[in-house]
Amino acid sequence: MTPRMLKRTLEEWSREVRVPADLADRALRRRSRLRLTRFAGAVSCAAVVAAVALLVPLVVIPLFTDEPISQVGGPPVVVPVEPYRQTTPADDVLADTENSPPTTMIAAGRVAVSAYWTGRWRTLAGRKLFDRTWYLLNPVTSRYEKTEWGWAEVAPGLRWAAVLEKDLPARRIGILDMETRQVRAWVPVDHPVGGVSWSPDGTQLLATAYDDYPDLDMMSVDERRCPARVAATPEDPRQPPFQTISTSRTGFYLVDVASATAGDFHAVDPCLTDNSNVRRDFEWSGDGTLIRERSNSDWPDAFLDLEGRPHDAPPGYVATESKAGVSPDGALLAGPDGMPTKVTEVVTGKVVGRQQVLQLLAWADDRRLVALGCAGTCGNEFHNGLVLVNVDGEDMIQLAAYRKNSQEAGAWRPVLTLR
Amino acid sequence: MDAAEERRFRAFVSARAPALMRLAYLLTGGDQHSAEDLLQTALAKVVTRWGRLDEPEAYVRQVMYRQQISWWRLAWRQRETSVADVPEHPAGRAGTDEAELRMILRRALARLTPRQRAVLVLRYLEDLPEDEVARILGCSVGTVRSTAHRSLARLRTAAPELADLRLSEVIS
Repeated sequence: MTPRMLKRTLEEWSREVRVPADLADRALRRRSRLRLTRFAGAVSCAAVVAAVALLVPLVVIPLFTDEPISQVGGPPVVVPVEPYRQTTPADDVLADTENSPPTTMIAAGRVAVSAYWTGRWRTLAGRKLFDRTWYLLNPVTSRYEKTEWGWAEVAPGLRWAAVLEKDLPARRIGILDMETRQVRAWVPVDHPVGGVSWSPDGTQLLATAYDDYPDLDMMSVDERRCPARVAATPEDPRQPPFQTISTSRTGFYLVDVASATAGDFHAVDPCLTDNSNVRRDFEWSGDGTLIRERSNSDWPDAFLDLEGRPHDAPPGYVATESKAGVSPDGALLAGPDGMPTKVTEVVTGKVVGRQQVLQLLAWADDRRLVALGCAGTCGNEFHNGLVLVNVDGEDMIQLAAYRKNSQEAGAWRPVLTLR
Repeated sequence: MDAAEERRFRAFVSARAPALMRLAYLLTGGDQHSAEDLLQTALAKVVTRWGRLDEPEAYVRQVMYRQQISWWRLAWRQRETSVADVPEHPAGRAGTDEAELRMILRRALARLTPRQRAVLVLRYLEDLPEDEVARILGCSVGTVRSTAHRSLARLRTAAPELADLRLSEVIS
């Protein structure tokens, strides 16, 4: 037994520990408990016994709970998730222009690259399917780490992620603690799911169910005919008497993250929307009160209520042509892919700026966007990378290294999330 | 503690929790639940002094060391991990690789008292000199020395297969 062996043994042993996610919360709650206990003690010293008897049950008891065991009148809380609140980050811009894929955190204003993935096609039983490898940000080390998940979606605030195991669709949804890298809770589902999306407030998940692999090549899927919504007329000879779809999507669940429970399954007819994609994940509407499915034709986007019933688009809904959409203050609208791109005023439609970038991906704040820019004079649009650009297009900061060919197999794809 | 201080406290916990939990885990003899309890108690004390501490992490560590020893001394709660079974003894040195020896050593460490474990962690994991260990634990250098000696002797008793290795190097 040498000092080296003793040290190695201690180090090895210590690495077995699991790091709870809510230590700060527990300490703060215990602090409150200590403070109240001291207060109660002071009162009792003053011999106001009756007051203590009243005060303790009313005030101290709720705060005595070190673990979040249950909500009053609600299901048990197993994930201490809190509604997302935007905060001012300490570092406005974090870039990694040296490594591709990035190794350290990329962020600008209110958004961060919470994850990225790489993908490759493979053949399984004569069918082609697309496999992703997910790399998730570790907010403790501010570095990206490779994972074994089949699908991942980081919640606004970067504290939690929803994960699905490989071989989609999956029969359970994991709620991953981004700091400890442990799954805090598993949510079983009867209908397997292939995609998950966090509600804007970060307390619910919208899980899209499929009965087959959701990332199959379209040629590997049996097409299905849907009845046409508008009969073909002589005036519109292009309209076929039916539309075809290639998806195995079946419906959705809403998951309450705090209690880690999936509600009822809601079956949704895929023929409700004209969309030729195989993966057709549902999305939240901007305010989280409705569910949206984007159309990929001239048909408008479709909306459902939270029970899965068709619903009108929200009043004033603006169909966006970019991933960035409407600015946080609601005044500006990011335009379609360029180059150049443009930003217009929502109310007047007036162009307020053009940017020498390929795509507008997310609003960093009311005046800046994270975008896909391209290297040099943009002789090759696939030699591209993340940049931060002003609405007027004059200032541009490179956030990530330019990928030599964004289309090649294995190229990394960033996922942007509110931080 | 105002909102800004609370944010800084949360950032501190977020950044240092892995290292602090590892220490708590060792001090409690590999007991996950007790380790969480120990660390959250120490952090709760830090909260009450937040803003007045130059080195919050050093303070947390000191509180954990002393708290653990104090819990054990007062026999307030059973903090030591019970290891009911006698450690397995391999047939002999031949064929016992270092990984196996480290497992044996770990089981022996779990059978030490919290004070003994704390001294070994401070001396051999954190590489601190005896006088610094004494300061952290709030005892004399002589107590540190004798505790280290007894701890190592107990390890040898609990795990005889370690006895024929170079023990002299440990008792420095």
